[in-house]
Amino acid sequence: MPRSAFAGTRIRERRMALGLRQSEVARRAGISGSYLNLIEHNRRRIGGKLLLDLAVVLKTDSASLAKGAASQMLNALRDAATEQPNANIDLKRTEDFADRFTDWAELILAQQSQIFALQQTIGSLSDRLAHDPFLSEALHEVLSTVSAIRSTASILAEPGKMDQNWQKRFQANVFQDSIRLATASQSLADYLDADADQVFSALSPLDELEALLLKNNYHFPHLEDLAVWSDTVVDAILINASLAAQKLGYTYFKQYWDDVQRLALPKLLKMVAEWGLDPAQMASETQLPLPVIFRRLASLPLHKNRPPVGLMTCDGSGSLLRKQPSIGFQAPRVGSACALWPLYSSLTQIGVPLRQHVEYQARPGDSRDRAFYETFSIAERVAPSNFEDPAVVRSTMLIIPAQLVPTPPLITLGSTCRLCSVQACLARSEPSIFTDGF
Amino acid sequence: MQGEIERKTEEVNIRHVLIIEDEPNIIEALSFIFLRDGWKVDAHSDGGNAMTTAIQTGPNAIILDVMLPNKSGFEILEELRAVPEYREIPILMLTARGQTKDRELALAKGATQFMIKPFSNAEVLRTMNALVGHEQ
Repeated sequence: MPRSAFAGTRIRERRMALGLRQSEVARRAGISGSYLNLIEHNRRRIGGKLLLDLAVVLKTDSASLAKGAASQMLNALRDAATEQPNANIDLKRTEDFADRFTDWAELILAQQSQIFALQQTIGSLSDRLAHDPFLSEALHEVLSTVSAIRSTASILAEPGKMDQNWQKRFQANVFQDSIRLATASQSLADYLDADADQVFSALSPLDELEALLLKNNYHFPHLEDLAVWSDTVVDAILINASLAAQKLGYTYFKQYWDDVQRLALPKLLKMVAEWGLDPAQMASETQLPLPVIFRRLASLPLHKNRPPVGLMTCDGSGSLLRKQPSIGFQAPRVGSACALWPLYSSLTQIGVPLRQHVEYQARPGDSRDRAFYETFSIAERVAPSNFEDPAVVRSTMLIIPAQLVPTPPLITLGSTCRLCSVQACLARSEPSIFTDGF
Repeated sequence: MQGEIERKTEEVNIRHVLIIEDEPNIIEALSFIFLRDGWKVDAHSDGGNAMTTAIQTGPNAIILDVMLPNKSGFEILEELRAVPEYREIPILMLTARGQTKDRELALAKGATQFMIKPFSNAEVLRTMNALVGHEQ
């Protein structure tokens, strides 16, 4: 499958054909260079006004850039329509609608993503109110003190004479409680202030970290060059992250750095130049465990001669711990992934390396509705071997886009049931949103 | 002498409240207004042994805070309602969280009334008098 089937790749090719610099094109289209870089590597969707702007800058018509983008828009519109089953939208007319009312379609998509973001925010806010022990304790302290003050003050405010001893006692109590209230409200204000950014980021810590990794293309030069571990370097990377994401980030970057110590970038690049993206060869050469090799390959800097590799990891429950996409091969944003992923097969045979060619069934209508990948998976035990601790298992899967259509055996899989169009699938657990009319 | 007479008439229909609350200044303020209204007042501030105090003092109405150290007001409420002598006793629950969930829980477990902090002294007093059937 030619890679030029992607809008991002077509933009890149067009730009290079014109001999324009990425930063120059980005500036003229009104976006940042790094964002254009993500688009060009097919790591960001593109559509709408930005596509038109880029078409102007690149002196071409948007349609020839848009092939992929238009179908992305159709898919997003279908998603939006299926979220509102009561609206009884005729999905067959999606294309017609998007063609005739592109601006309105854009509005629907913008609103759809806003709805999603708001739902996330509401969820995280109500979670916070219901489960945050500090917040509930601080509020309780404020309310208790206010109750004591109100009760005492209303006695003091009563008309008529009062026994002097009682009066003095109540005055002392109000004073004492007012100090307590001041402290309690201050600590509540500090807490809310410090936390405001996190509350509204509306992401789970894992999503937040994943977004940060993606922004850096999963490659961290500062860690590659770091001879002695230093918290400061990681602090700088995680400076804007929430506390929870920082915690996850530390674990992630510590492992990243440990991996670098075992296989430094120059040696890695040398091996890649010699053998290509071949984890088995590299493992036998370096005597390193496969997961280390997988992770190092997934941390390679982007290069035009190398397809971006993906990496997924999951724990024994199947929860995805890392979702690094490879061109089209993506983990679902929410919910569980396709049960046919070799990542999961590996969970049943710990320590056994599994190499599997797969055909990834993207959404119908995507420019790459059939794509082939080679996957390498292995599950390992990460808990210390003793008789007390429960066994903790972690599975890792490396995803490399296949240059040629591979020969069978081939597993046909997708991202997640909802977004997959494979009709006769034994593993299907949920209906597809594409079964109607496609 | 005047006092003697008053106390005697009170004894016919004695009003005795037990305040289970961990804020000492709230106890003080409530005690003051109840004493002044002619109630007998006992106070207790630890959730853990609140039951023992309730049985020893034998009140005919209880004010019970939800958030107490060692044992929650809801648990104490349940224990009280399990004792035959306390099955019918008026219990006013106080909480600093006005969530419907708390109110429903309190009423389901047998609280007679439910009030949210910060409360008004007059309202607490009026409610308690009404609960023991005292005409003001």
